[in-house]
Amino acid sequence: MNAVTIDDLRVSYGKVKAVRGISLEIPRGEVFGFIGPNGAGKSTTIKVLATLLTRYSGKAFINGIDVSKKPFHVREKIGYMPDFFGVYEDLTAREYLHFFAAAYRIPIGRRKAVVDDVLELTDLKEKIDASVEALSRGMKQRLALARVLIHDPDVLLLDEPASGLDPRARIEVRELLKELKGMGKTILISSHILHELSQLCTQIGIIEAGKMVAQGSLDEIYEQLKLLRVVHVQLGEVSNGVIDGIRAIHGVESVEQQVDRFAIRLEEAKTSIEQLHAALYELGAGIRMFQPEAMDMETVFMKLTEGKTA
Amino acid sequence: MIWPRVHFSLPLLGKELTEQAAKRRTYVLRSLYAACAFIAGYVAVITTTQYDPRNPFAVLGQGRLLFETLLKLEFAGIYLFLPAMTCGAITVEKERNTLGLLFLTRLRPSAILMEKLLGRLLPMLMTLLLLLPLLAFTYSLGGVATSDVWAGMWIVFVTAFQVAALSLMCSAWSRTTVGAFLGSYLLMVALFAVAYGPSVLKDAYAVGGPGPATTAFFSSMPILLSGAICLLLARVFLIRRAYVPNKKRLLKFFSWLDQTFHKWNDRYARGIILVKENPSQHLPEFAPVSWRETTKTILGAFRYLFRMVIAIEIPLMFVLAMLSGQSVRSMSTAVDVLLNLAWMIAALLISVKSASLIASERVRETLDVLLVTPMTSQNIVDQKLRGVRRLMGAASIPIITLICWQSFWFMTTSQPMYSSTFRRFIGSETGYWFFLFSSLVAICVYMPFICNVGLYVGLRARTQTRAAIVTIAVLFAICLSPLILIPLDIAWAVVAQVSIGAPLASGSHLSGFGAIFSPLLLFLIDTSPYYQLLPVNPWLAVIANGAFFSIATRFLRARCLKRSDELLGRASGDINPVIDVFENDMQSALEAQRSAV
Repeated sequence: MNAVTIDDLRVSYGKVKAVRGISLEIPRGEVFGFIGPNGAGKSTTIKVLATLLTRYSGKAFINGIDVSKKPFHVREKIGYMPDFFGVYEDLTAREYLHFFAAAYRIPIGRRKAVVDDVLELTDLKEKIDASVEALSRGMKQRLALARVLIHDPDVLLLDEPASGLDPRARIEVRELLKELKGMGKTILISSHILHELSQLCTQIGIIEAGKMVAQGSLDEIYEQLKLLRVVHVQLGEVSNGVIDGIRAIHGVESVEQQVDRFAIRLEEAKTSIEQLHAALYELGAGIRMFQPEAMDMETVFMKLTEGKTA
Repeated sequence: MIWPRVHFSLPLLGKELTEQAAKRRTYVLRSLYAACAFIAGYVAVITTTQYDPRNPFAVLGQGRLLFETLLKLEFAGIYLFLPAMTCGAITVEKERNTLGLLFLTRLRPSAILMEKLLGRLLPMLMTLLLLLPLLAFTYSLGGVATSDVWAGMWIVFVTAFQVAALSLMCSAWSRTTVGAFLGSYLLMVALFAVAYGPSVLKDAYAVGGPGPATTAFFSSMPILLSGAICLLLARVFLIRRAYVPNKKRLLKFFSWLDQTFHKWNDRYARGIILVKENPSQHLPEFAPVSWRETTKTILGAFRYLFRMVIAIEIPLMFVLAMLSGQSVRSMSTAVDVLLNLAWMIAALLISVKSASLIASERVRETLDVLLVTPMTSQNIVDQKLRGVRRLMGAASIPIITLICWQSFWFMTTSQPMYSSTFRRFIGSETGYWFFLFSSLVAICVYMPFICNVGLYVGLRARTQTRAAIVTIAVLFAICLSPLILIPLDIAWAVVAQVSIGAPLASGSHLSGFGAIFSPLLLFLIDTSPYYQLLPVNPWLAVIANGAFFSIATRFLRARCLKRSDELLGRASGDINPVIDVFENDMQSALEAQRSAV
């Protein structure tokens, strides 16, 4: 059974159609990255799953439970973090977590241990008696994550968890999410920070103007888009014969001479990186540097989207 | 000849006027004001001129009385609407974090203030212009000199300027619109009542109508001067208080007081503890929302409310003791004033607090987080109300003190209750019983009613400010609702006079019936000869009034709870099957644990 299933979801705010027929499935234990420009419909989709929207058509399920029919059951299964902190600034970290422990009806005898555990996990144990108001943005975000985890939900719905954070806080949040991934949680995460998602997500969905424009693993999407891999090489022996030989390698689209290197555009479906390396060696080119460029999500994103909103 | 180019623009004023023109509520308010004004004008024509349809020319020359009534209507419009319109002028910019951006432009702070002032003053004056046809009508009746018209217009203008400047000053001072809203009205009442208000206004336009234009001009100098001082202060506050953090001074003061008391207790009383604190209060057990409302907010935490009550009660008792040496008449009048003041403050606090319950969660973006927990919406709303219930209890104590003190005084001295026509009418012996009964009914019925109106509005409103303002407006409208029946009474009387020659005073008493369903009933029958219009026995009227508002309160509460999912904005679906069982288990486990301890 999938942890999250959405089937032909449509949401409108008055005349504005925010979501226009999104369908997706997230198997258990997967991390699904939701990418799209502002106003694309990411937060709206997440809100439907979090039982915070009532007017929509289509179906949404969490662990096979219909969100519209059994929202109370769904709330037990999910941990939702909105794109703002949602913290009570007049409480301390301990009071804040106990507040939600009580709201989730965690037995009193277990609460202290649970709160200690989530604080440990989010590395906030030293700040347990600090006022929430006095915490930094990164700490508040981690506290919000601790709150999400307090009832040990199966599915985490995280809406822009790293937005507005400094690089250190962002890395900390990313590491925390990796840890949660390791714990087997199913995570649906929306973000603008694309390269971070690429390191974390097993699947991504790119949404624009309320429609899903691409979905699958990163490799599948690269393949769908027929993106070429750029390999940077520095050669000891640069002669016309060698360059012609490179151009003649099956799968090489072009060879561009730059100041100190060559940029080879390669169709990976025809020739792998390893095969290219072997072919260069056979040509006797004298390889000084061989650096395949990481395929970045930004290229994918820019190729797939036009910056439209719903 | 080449004329020098003059670059003159008022971008902020343009933006303010465009924004207001795009809002539906601008037109709704104007239409409502016009409707009320024309109905009041109609009533004034009939009542002040003793209009006789068989002799319509008899009204000629009686324009002056009508003119004064219309001016009072204009003042009422200014005092009621202008502070609400102006109080958000600067605070909204602070709340949206756009004030800093305005400072970065070439607009000088004084220009920002003037454009903001004009942006509020112009729509108000436009609204007042709606009364122009009525004023023209009164002028045509005769009895009003042209200089009177100019004098009246001038006083209306300077009053509008003064009120707008005062509200702008509050807006520049406050951090939030709600604070500016409360500050504006309280300062306005204080200024009007305490300072020059009565004397200047009396001279200028209250008695005998507006004097000649020059007299009105010189009489209005204090008003203009106070307005200018408010503007100057607003200019100072605009910069100094542009980025005021939430210092929570009252909370810090109480915390400091706590520590001081503990120190004194340790030092002088060896740490004696009279009331042992419940350790479970430190962290929430089963009702987290209620826990936060009753331990973490100033107007909900018992210890803070207790101190506030003490801080009010001690001076109040002192004032009452001082008054006991005065004549019965002046004492009774003073207590009536204090009682009305206590009611106003209580109503204001309860309405603002209850309206802010949910709206504040929305504004602070904590509502969504609360809504994804498995707590039912009814449970959340119910727990939220617990702090307000405590506030109602605390707010009722000074009122009960005043009521009991006055009743006790009259019971023991067997003096007639001079300040009240009605009390004289029904006799001093039964007067205080009626007074006690009606006052206690008011406390038991109206406070929960105000709370539930605030809750309902707060559930629907997107911001705290809107929730507070709409709640107060709704309560005000409910209080004055019987007035709309007065024109029908008069129309009925006029028809009766024409057809059967009945005297004009014999109306249909519809407004008398209507008053039974207004919270103002108790106030009216206690302090005016209004009881004569009541179609039923006053005791019955009070009982009917109490029953009506109790039912209305229950209805509102039931509606809030029934529609809580929809109003809060979450999916409802099934009922929560887990919670009740779980809660019972938890409760019994806790009781077992406590008994073991």
